[in-house]
Amino acid sequence: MAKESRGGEYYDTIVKFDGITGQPSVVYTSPDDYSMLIQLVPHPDGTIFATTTENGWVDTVIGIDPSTGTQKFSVPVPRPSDAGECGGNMIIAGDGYAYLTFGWTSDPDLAPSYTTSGYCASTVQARPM
Amino acid sequence: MIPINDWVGNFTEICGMSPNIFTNADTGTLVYWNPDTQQPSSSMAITTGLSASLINAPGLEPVLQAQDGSFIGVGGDSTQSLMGAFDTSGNVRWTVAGDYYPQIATADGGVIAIEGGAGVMTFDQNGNATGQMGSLPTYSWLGYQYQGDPLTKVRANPIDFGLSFAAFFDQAGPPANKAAVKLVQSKMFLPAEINTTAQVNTDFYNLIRKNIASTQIALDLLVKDKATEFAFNTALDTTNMVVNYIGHGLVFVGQPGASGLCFAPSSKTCLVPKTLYPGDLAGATEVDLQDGTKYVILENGFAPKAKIVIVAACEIDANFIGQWHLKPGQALIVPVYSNPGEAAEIDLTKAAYEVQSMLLTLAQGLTVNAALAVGNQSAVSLNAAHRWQVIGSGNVTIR
Repeated sequence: MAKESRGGEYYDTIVKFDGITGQPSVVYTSPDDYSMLIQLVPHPDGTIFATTTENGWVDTVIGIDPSTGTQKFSVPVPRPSDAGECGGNMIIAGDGYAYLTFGWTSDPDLAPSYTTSGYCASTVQARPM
Repeated sequence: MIPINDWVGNFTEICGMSPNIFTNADTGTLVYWNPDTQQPSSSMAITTGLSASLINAPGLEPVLQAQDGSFIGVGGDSTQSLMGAFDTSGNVRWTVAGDYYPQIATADGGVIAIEGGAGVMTFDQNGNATGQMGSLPTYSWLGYQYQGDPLTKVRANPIDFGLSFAAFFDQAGPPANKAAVKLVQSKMFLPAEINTTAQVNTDFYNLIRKNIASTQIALDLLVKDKATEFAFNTALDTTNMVVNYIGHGLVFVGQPGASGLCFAPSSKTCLVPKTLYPGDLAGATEVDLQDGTKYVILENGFAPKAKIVIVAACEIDANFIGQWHLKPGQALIVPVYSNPGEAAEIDLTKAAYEVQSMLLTLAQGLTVNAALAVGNQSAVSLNAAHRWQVIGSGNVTIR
């Protein structure tokens, strides 16, 4: 399984490869022109978890059925609308949940010298369906 | 959302903490980040459900999780690198200085680590170096070993890996894809096909491969000449393993009960516990017959490390069972025949399907006793003459 860029600008497609022949086949393509795939993690039940973004920050965690390519669920990453975000590392833990670390600051301009309140290293859980 | 902590700082400081995450068995996660100047003693948190608690910073980042729930990781500073273990409270159990990187958590609580990208060292549960390995290949789900470019299948030492959701790092073995999976292997030895009709055999192989996902139990079917005594002994020597033997017990003329287990037809090799061999061995450890049959004599019978062994064969009696030296936490599942001593026979086709039902039950994390009940239900529904019994610990699970 890998992500691919159809237009050559950003990753918008998930491709799977046959384990014996290596033949690629498209599993999923982002439904709009602005949503970019960041990280892909396969769940042991087969569901492909992916983080997506439209502006560089993780917006949603989506679940994709690998056999049909259909989106099973979409979970928005909660953060204040005016916050600057960082991080975004996802795993499927042993309890079967997907966890995503991320943090945000309340500094909307991301000014490095501006002292503000940060809220770092939070996680969001999404269940496979 | 699981809030971890609030800090005061600018964006660079906050985001420079680079939060990362690691599985904590099946209870939650270990979140860790670069130490910050405000709370230097805390750079980790354990999440359980929707809550998080900060723990002491052990100065190590997790790489593996051992079978007992402790983490094995790396740390250090500009003057030295460290490898070590810490518990879920952040207490350091041991550290060892050197450029080691953990690769595989082993069943004895130890770790296999590469040293400076070259050598491979083994350590016990206290961090004491116990040995060296020439190289460390990549292990597949089924335990086969691969190395090099182009990738080549090699024969290396089997690894007695730990039962953990993070027993392997990256290329050392499955899984290397950010999904925590507890690997349990099962070898199914079928030296004699279970049915004289080829399609019946094929149907069974296809069905069991389809029904049991590798993420539940990584099942390896070893049919006929692939069912070697070497592979059987290797499987018995692997702790987190379910070993299945479905075949014909070795029966000597004039001696009641099974006296051993026979393997690949081409090798004609049987494993025979010494006390069950009817002749005078005169100290021999092997007996070679004129027809090519070879009896490998087991001085002390079978002493498996494997948690669960299922033997589906004819003529298994108390003497044969007595040759299985089990420790607490291990189980042997064998048939009970309808007329012991008379027709102690088993239908291998029915037995194979019953073993499959037991494996499916074990894959769900249920106990050997639960698997036994399902196996016996299956035997009833298949109108089999035999039933199943457990020797050893019925409360064993593989999850």
